[in-house]
Amino acid sequence: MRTVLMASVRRYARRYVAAVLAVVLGSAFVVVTATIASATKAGMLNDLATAYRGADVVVTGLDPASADRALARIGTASVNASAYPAVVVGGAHLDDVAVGSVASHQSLRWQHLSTGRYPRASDEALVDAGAARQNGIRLGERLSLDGRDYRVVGTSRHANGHLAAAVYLTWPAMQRLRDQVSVTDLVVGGSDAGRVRGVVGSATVEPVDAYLAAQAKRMTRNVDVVATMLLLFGAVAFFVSILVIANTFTVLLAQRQRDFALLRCVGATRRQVMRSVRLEALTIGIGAATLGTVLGVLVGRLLLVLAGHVLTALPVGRAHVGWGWLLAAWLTGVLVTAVASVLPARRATRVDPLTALRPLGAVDVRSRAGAARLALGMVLILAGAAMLALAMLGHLPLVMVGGGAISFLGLLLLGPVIVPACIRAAGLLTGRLLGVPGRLATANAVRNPRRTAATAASLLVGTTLVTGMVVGMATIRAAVDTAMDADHPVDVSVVGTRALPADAARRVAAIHGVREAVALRGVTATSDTRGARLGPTTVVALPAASDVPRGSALSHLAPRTAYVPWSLMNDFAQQDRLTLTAAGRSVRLHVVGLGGIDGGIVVSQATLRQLAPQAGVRGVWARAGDHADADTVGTRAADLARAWHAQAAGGLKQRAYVHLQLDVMVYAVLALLSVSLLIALFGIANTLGLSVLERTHEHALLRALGLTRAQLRATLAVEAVLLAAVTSLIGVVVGSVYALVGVRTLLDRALGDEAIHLTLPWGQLALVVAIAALAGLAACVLPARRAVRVSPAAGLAVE
Amino acid sequence: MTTTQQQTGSQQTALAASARDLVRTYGSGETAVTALAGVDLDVAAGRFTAIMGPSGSGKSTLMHCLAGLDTPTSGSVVVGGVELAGLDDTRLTLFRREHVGFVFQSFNLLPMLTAGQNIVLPLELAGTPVDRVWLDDVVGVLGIEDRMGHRPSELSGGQQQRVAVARALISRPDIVFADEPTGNLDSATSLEVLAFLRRSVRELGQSVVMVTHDADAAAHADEVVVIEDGRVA
Repeated sequence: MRTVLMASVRRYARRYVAAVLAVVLGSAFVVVTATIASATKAGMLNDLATAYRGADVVVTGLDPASADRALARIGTASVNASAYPAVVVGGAHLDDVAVGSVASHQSLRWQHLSTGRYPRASDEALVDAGAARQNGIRLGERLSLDGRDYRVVGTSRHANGHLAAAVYLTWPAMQRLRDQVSVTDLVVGGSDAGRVRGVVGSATVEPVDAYLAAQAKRMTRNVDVVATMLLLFGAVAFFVSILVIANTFTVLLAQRQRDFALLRCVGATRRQVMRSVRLEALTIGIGAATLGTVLGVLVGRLLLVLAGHVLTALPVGRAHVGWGWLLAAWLTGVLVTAVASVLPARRATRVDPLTALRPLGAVDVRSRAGAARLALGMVLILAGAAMLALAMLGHLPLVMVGGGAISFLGLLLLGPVIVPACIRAAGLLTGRLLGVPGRLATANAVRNPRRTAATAASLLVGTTLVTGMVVGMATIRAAVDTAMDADHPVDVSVVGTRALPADAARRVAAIHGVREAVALRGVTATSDTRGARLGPTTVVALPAASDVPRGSALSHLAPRTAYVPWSLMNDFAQQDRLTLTAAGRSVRLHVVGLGGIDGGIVVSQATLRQLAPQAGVRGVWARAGDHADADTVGTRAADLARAWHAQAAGGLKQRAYVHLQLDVMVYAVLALLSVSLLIALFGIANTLGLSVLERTHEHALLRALGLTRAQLRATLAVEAVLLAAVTSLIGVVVGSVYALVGVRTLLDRALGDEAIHLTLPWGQLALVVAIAALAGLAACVLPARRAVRVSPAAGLAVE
Repeated sequence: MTTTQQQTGSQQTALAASARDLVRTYGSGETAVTALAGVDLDVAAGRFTAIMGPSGSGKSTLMHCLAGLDTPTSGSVVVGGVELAGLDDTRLTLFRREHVGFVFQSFNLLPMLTAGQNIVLPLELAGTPVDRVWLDDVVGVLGIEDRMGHRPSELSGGQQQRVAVARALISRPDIVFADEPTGNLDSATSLEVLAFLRRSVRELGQSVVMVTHDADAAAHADEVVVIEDGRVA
């Protein structure tokens, strides 16, 4: 049997391409994941070690005051602290700028100087080179942190890690940021834990090695969580691989039934044939898994080199992929192939020799889904649906995952009924549009329901997951947008302490990306509350009814109410009333705290008229278009603000940042799922290729009867596109349902009582179907080329 | 064979097909095989012609070349007044659609279409409307009216071949080629199918060329051409 085995592998090697590719991609994916995870870990540990280079002892659990006291009593020490003050550079507000500390002792400074020098005085700052480039900060420029000015005296090489920040100040300078500051730790050089412990009292004192070990453990645990999630996508890819491989084997072995029958006739036992088939599968699995593992190592290396050059924000270190990982990836590949071939092998070798040798036996490839299979499918779908309903009612994520898996399995079992029925329905349209090729394609696509369903299954997994992801994220995005509307109602705000030019609104509206701008009238007023008196504050009013603010927070400004930015609320000590006074006129108002209205107190127009009947233009609020570039709009608004001695602010950057994060998440998941989709498409190409081989004679007959090459090509293209598009359409529907369940189960609670509406991103869903259809078209290129190359005479001669 | 050769020149219009110095070789160099080594042949219109020869004689290749299924290495073929040499694949296909009908030995019908759909397939491919009267005529002559809705797997071998004959006649081609139409049938059914081919010549005025290695089958034809080693014997 060895000769038969090796000859079979050689002879049919090309027909195994899809199976091999599926395993190669799966194994490679696991190895690449492991490589990146290990490199990220190494990078993080490297950053960590760099940041504590000169330290011997680390003290944690200090507040700024106790840290400062300890610092005074220890010789060589430095406080690592962080703060997020309001940062203004050249008139522009910067969001989420981290401020860190730089040691005054040279041995404890971990930042590498790029240009200039380290800060010494408490009004000097060091800026991270990456942050400087991003925000256009130059050496010698002035930064305002919480209203105090600092001069940039140096830039440091871009760093990552938990001590890294955009701006570094000396510890005395940092202390001026007061309650903004939180102390990470105190590092001590040239001392030991015992001596330090005597000085700092109750704080935790650790030798640096112990501290780093604990930190490393925490960080790598995070990486491991991410790696595990990545491997879930690997598992999906392998699941799809099993479907593709099993289908390949089923088709291939059915075509070779006469070979097996002949072997049986010349004396091979059923077990020998089965063994031969299994060994064949194993040989292919081993070959493909080896190829995949090697490819994974190479691609992993390549990605790391790329990441090192392109994604400087990622901590990338040297990758050490253990033999365990390589072995696991390899073994999984081999096992997947072996498991996928078990059923097809049993089915193919069960046929008795004489049946298989009958000449017409090979032609009738129609098969029907067994009744038992259908019944089981129905039961699984119902059970899964019940679990999903339970999960939604009780917010039970695990029940949801179980219900999803069970119902999907049921769906796959019902595939031989559902998929051909849908294709037939869609085929009515293609038949009408494309005539004979359209009708032939439909007939071909449904003639073997089981094969059709098996081919569709692999694509269904991918499109369902993609849709679930896309719909889920669109829903989250809509919910987040609603929340953002409340927190950041104004995209761009330019508010000054003096009058703005009369055409200010027009000038802001002229910024590329701004859709609409509205002028705010206002006045400088003093505000009094019980017990506190504030300096001059800008008070502005929005003209009646404006579309500029988002959400409902600012659409109805109540009379006799002051909408006070959260940043000023502290100064009002949570008082519920305040009195505004301007030029001798006063109004007494209710206080309502409101986010996202930087720059001044907002009142209704009637209130402003009471306070200052002749109020001039004091500010502009603007709303950006949907695809505005937040950075450009922000910079241009800041330029105007500077010219008008006003301050620019607004939620546009924040909104863009949140959208970017959501987009990155969607794209990352889509990229990861694309491996599974790719495997599924190889599966379609493969099935189509094998069907084309099977139908050589039929195609020759059709060509003899007058089907042109172009029509034959069209027939195959329509078949592939029908299969891919209809399958992805089913996937879109099923995925949307799963997304609904997922949102109800997971998000209803997370986002509180606010009603969450399932948001269907029609454009993106149409794109899923369109991409699948195009991919189907791509999948038919090679099989079609092979099919039309056969001349009718040659095709008719094929036995 | 002499009869048909005598008609050459004097009755051009009565020729369904003709071949001149037809050569077909497969492969090249040492493995080259010559299937046709210079065949001259005329097929009379409205007659039942049999091309006979042992297997490997080149009779199927001759039929494939005459029917525009295969491209000869050299020589000329004229069918229904159309010179086939120099036609590209699409033109040849359109030629077959309009001028030629086929009956093959096996795998004659498309398994996913019903008998009725199989019969009108050539018309659908050509985008020609179905002539209902003619369809009923043909189906009636062949006695398969009650089989139109069945799929090939539900028909007997003889019924399948009758459906194939109906399909070959439906577009009223200039010539029908039948390649071993009785090769897979028992003798009674064979006789039946041969009788139908005969009837289609006699009653419907169809030109039919049948390729066979079976002398009994050839005996039903008006003319018999014997091919041996790629030449007309």
